[in-house]
Amino acid sequence: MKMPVPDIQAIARRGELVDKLYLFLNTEQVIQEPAALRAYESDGLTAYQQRPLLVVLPENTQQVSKILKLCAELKINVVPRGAGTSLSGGALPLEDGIVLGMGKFNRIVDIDFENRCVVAQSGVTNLAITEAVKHKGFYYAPDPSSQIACSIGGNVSENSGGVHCLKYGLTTNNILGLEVVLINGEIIRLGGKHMDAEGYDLMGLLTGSEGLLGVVTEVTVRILQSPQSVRAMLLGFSSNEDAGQCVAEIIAAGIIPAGIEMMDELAIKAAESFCHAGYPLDCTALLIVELDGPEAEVSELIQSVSDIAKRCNVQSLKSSESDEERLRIWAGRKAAFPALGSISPDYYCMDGTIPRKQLSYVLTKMSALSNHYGLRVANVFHAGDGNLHPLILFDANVEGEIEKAEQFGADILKLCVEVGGVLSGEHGIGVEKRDLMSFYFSEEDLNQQQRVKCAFDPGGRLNPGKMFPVLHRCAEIGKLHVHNGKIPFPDIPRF
Amino acid sequence: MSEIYKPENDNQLLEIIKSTLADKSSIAIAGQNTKYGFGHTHDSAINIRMTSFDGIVEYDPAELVMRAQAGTPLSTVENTLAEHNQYLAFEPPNLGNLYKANSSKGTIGGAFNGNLSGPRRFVAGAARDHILGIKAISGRGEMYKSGGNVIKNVTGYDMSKLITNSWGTLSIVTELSFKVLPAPVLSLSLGITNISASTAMDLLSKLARSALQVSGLAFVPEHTLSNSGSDSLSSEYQNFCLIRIEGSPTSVKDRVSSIERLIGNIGTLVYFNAEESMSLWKLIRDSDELMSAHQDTTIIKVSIPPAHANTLIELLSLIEDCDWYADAAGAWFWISLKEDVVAKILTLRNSLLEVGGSAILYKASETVKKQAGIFSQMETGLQNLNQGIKNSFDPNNILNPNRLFISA
Repeated sequence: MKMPVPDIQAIARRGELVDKLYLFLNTEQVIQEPAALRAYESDGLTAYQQRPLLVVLPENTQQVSKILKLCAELKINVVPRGAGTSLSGGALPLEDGIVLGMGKFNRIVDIDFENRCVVAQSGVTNLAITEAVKHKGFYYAPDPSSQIACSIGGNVSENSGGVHCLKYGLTTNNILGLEVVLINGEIIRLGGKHMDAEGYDLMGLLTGSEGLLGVVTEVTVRILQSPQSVRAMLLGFSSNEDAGQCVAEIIAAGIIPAGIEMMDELAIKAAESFCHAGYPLDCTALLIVELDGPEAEVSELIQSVSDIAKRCNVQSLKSSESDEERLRIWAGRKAAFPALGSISPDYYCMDGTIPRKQLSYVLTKMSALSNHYGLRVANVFHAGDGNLHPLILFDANVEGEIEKAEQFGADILKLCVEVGGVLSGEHGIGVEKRDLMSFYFSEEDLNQQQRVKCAFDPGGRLNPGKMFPVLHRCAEIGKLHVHNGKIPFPDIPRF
Repeated sequence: MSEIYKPENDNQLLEIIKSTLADKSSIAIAGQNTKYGFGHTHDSAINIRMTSFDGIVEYDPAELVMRAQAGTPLSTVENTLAEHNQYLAFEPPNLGNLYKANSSKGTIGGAFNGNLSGPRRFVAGAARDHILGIKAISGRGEMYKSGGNVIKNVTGYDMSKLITNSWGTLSIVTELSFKVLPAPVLSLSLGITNISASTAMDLLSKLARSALQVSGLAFVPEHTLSNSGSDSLSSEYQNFCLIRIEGSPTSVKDRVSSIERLIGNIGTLVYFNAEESMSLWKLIRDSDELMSAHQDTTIIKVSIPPAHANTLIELLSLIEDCDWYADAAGAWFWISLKEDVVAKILTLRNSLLEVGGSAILYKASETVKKQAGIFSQMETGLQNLNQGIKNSFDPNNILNPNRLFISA
């Protein structure tokens, strides 16, 4: 993975930048000391590290605006960073760029039950929003597994998901408004507390744009009333095929569970020995099916899912009778990553999406790849929406294993694309999957995406080196070649 | 002279675009042209109808995804889904009658290009929330794709969402993938008559904030009902509140009892079976009948923070010749205006400046559209971004030019 060649002249302007930042920021808002910068060297994708030019910590939107404007003028790159939990290297610093840390944007601005929304500064954590409204029975639906730490602004930039996406949607379906600062310092407000915006859906475009289009400073999210009843079922199967079939039949029966998670044998065993969730150890595949809604409906659904599971040769079946039991069922799944971490020195978490019907084929292929590379792979799978998280187990201390793990990961993602899926379901492209983009997109697809980028950031200052394998100058891809003279089109039916 | 073309494949579309670019001409792009009336007049020498791009390309009900060519009739999509007990949860309306085009629902491409949505909007989202991917040709004459055919995807910018609400001004979409969902087994409604507007709005708000999972919350005041002359709703239903409950029969029954308890002795309760419920919500969804579209009314759709509903109702009561009804628990108002409409639209839009909201002009004469604008006046920064997006897809402004924004 190569990052763009650092601009030595930009690095040379560091002193000038610091002087100008001090005109409107306090000394503690500009981090320059190497020791202090180290904390920002990488994000959740720890395989990559880079010391940034500076870290700047604005306290309000006006400061963000001034910082961006200044960086644009001095031609210095900007890497926005929320809580730094990105698993795709979205907040990986640049040698010639500042990290714009949004940690001080930690205030909930407005809790508005009447309008069923919360306005939060972008550094507020995902979980803090639910915490702020749960006393009235409300919650914020998207729940990425890093929700205790990840920021809502980062969620917007990555269009984060979680285990409840199938029923409740991703971040993009759960936000109403954004305040965004553009690289020229302009402060833009999109949407609000109402549903329909005028003009192009810029909020939809910004969601999942990985910090390449603007810096999110404030988010208005929809909050939902918690369902009356939530119950989880634990279903053990002797084959991946049976478990996959069970998922397909649940959905074909018109049931949309709040979540359906699948774990394979290695993941089950690791999770069980790590936290004793009561998982059956004689199973090859495990499903957790969570059902929520009005009480009468949930009991009915538990019965329907049990019937379907039996038809699909379920080996063991358990339904939670209390919230404690439900949380215990989830505990194993939620601890799956650290559990696998405990049986292997290192692991590499992948994130692709496939059409669900390809699951069995993909798992078989993956196990062949596992043999080929001599590396174990465990699978946890958001089975409802086809989002696969293979965890490749390796040892970074063994020479060449990290490269092998990366190569294995790339092969898995290519496999996802080959069966009709995509490179990333929820972790984003960042630097991790950047070079695979041309495997999924044609040059024309990517050029059009970069033209959209040019409409926001013509100088390419925001988060360069992420998402796009090749960076084009806006002038170069903006040109339009028009043929001269008339081109007849006699074959097209006219009326 | 204007000609209508019905291209049959991507290459023919590309040919038309390249020739249009060379001629410095422009294209009016449509599916069945049922929503031509939305936006400014956008006639061009070349008219494209996408109706030959017809057909469902891929549909496996268990995947909850359908892929269809853009010109596929919405009715074909909906009928196919219904055969498998599935549906488009965003409930696209039929705007054909609103624009007096015809009574057809148009195409799937049209539904997404207009970001259509119906009364289920406040719980299920709009077309934008269901689009997964597109294949399209930009105004530069380049074919591209965005998104994919799976439900969860963050690979690259979500340009598919830009297409929703672009009304054919960014690209010619040839194929779309979208999320489909199981249709509720049972859908019925409770009506409450003889209820004051403010009591109704408070009740709707309470229901929207409850865990009762209602999927339709509307209020129609008596004057709107009588002025529309609609015979779909009995004239006995003065000041009429409608509540939709969907799900399995057990669940619906259970929730209806809870709702009855919550309503208490407000107004008079009326029960509607599945069939009656469907036709009532169609009336709310399509708006043409209640808004007297046949009378050349000016129609505007206002989207507001729902807690602002009662304040807006007070303002509406001061505007002469103004009929309206509320949908989506008071987050939406369909408003019809007569006489001196430009000033009235401005009054409405100004009233939203502080609280936030949108007021989109759905139907008006071209004179009114030019004076008031399809959208409210945007701040310069936002206007520039919209223009920048348009330029990035269609730098020579050949696709539905001026439909949304009149260029200076």
